[in-house]
Amino acid sequence: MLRTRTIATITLAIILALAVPTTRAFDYPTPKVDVNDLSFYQPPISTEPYPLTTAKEVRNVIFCIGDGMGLGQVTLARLRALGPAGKLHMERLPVSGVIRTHSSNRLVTDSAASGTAMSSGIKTKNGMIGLAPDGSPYRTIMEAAKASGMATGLVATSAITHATPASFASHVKSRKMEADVAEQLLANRVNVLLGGGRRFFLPKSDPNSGRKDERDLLAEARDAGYVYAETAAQLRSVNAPYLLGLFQDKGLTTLPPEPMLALMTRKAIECLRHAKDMSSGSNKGFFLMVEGSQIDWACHSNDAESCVRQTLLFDEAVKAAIDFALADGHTLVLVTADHETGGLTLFDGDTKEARVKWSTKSHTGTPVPLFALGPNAEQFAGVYDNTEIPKRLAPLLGIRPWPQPIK
Amino acid sequence: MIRRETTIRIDATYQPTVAPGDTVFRGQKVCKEPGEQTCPIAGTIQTVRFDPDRHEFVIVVVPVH
Repeated sequence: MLRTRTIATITLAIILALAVPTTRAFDYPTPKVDVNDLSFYQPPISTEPYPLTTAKEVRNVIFCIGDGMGLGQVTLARLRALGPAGKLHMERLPVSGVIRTHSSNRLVTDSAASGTAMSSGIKTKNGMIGLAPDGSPYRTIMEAAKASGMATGLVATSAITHATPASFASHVKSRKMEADVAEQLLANRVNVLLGGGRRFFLPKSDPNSGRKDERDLLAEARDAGYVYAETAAQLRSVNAPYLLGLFQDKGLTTLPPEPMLALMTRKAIECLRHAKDMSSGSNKGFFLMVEGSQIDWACHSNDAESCVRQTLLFDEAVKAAIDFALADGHTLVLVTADHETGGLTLFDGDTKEARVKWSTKSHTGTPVPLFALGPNAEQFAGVYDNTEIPKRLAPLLGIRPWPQPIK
Repeated sequence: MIRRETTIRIDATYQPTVAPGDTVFRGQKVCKEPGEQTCPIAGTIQTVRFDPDRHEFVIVVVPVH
């Protein structure tokens, strides 16, 4: 009897296995990380929104971009870290908006076109950085801020030459021209550059180089007054008006001993304040862009656990920005995304273990959230296009007109 | 002559239309990227992996012998 039931069970299992359609699996390597270890994350002590400020003068801007971070990614991270009733730090910002992300030629944007929209206020083709579709360059909000006397900084967990940071301080026809981007970041005198991508700063003769010429941009940066760091310890000990920190040849691992995104953000703020203290005759503040680059990477792999970890790492960096902004009182913090990646949806599960479903391995055209805090934050509420962000930002920094073609 | 495996790179903004194990023919489109990103040989898709630094999918095709 028992044997008969066993055979029947096995037969049924085989039938079910054949009957249930299998998901077509891609062969993506999963990083060797304990992605379930979220002990680094310091949750908010409250779910109350941060207060709106009555101050109107914007001296500093901290623009935080979660690459590939849609509402699904934010929600999943919150559920895993805090449960359904919690709030991430970014979700406590008092103003929220919804951002449309299409590029000039596609419904689904890439980071280059979206970064250009958010920095220059123009739509361009996927792959292009700081240029209109016809190839004409447009000033970025960071370049305009620099020209007006503000200090500037870029922080990312990708190569610092990757599409999003590149979009704020360079102009190239293809995002693949990362060696050119590296040159332009230094030529633009961005005060603080923290991330990966060291290979694009090394001469061709170096075995780790990603360049096709013998320019040694690390040496050129030192000659130009940059302090160079490549470990977390070196980063912690630096306080300089010009800082170049490159912690990997390619993108960061986001694991120790590398500096975490939150540490890089705090250090960038410290150095940018120092840069302003050093400059005489200007009461202008700083413009800092911080990117959580690898939310996108996790979602391209449809890796929910890694997506949660990367979103929480980004949220820690947002917290560093919030802490400074609340203490300063004249800092505008914007948190948004360049696009959504993966088509992540959550469907029924228990309250902390939501089940996820991905609709693609690539980007999607769904709108992304925006959160804002600080003077004039309320101007960033509503549903609008990503090109509107710098258009609303520029007048607050005394920059007119906008957008600005480069003659 | 035995042909070696072929690698195709596509921008990760766009969805690959092939997966490991798929049989592909020469000239078949391998992604939804605008333009003509096609498979240069007939064969079987061995792997599709994401290269984050170049933001590309890397598709490896093993030829049919």
